[in-house]
Amino acid sequence: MSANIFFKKAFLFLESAEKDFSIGLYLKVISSCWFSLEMLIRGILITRFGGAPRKEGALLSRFSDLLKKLNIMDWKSIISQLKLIYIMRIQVDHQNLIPDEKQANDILVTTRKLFKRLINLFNLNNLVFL
Amino acid sequence: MSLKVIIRKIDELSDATLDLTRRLINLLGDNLVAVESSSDGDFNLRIILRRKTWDTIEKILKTIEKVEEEHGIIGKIIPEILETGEVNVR
Repeated sequence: MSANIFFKKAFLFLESAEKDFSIGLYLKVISSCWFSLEMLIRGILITRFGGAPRKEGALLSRFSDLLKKLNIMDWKSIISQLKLIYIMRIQVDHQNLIPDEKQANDILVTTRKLFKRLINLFNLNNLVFL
Repeated sequence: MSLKVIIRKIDELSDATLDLTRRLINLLGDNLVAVESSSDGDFNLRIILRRKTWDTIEKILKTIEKVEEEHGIIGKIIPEILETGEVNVR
């Protein structure tokens, strides 16, 4: 399985989140932000281990193990933010809460920062679609 | 008001789940309906509330973070947070 397609999708989802925000589609912003990070994490795990858990909960847990093992200084904060975005995505896509503009903006800002942090952390700056 | 707590299997998360439940009782009071460990789907813990808001969700996630930190299981509790109207309480 090639990780590059997941990295490409990560960028496409982030782009989509930016566009969705600009036209006020706040539900979609939250979903796209999560999918962007999910694709990035999948790509990273595939690069490292040749595969990644299908279920999102297991994916987060596996990624948490990886960051801890690599002794990343801010790994707890990274996991905490990823989990918040994942839980918000579940609320938005499957349950009864609706985000407002501020929440969508906060999640988008956090996603941009996380995205940049993970790209730098795993030396993905040379990807052709950057 | 009653509170339902179910630990389906004794494992490395059981103690943390009980600790978390105690803290959620203090945090949420009567708003807390059930805490159930779960092994199906994408989640391993189901938290059921009478009323759910974004603010409540953030507070629950912060409490989970503290419990994970203290039990050395950061990133391991993946909660599904529901309102009674969204689920049939088993």
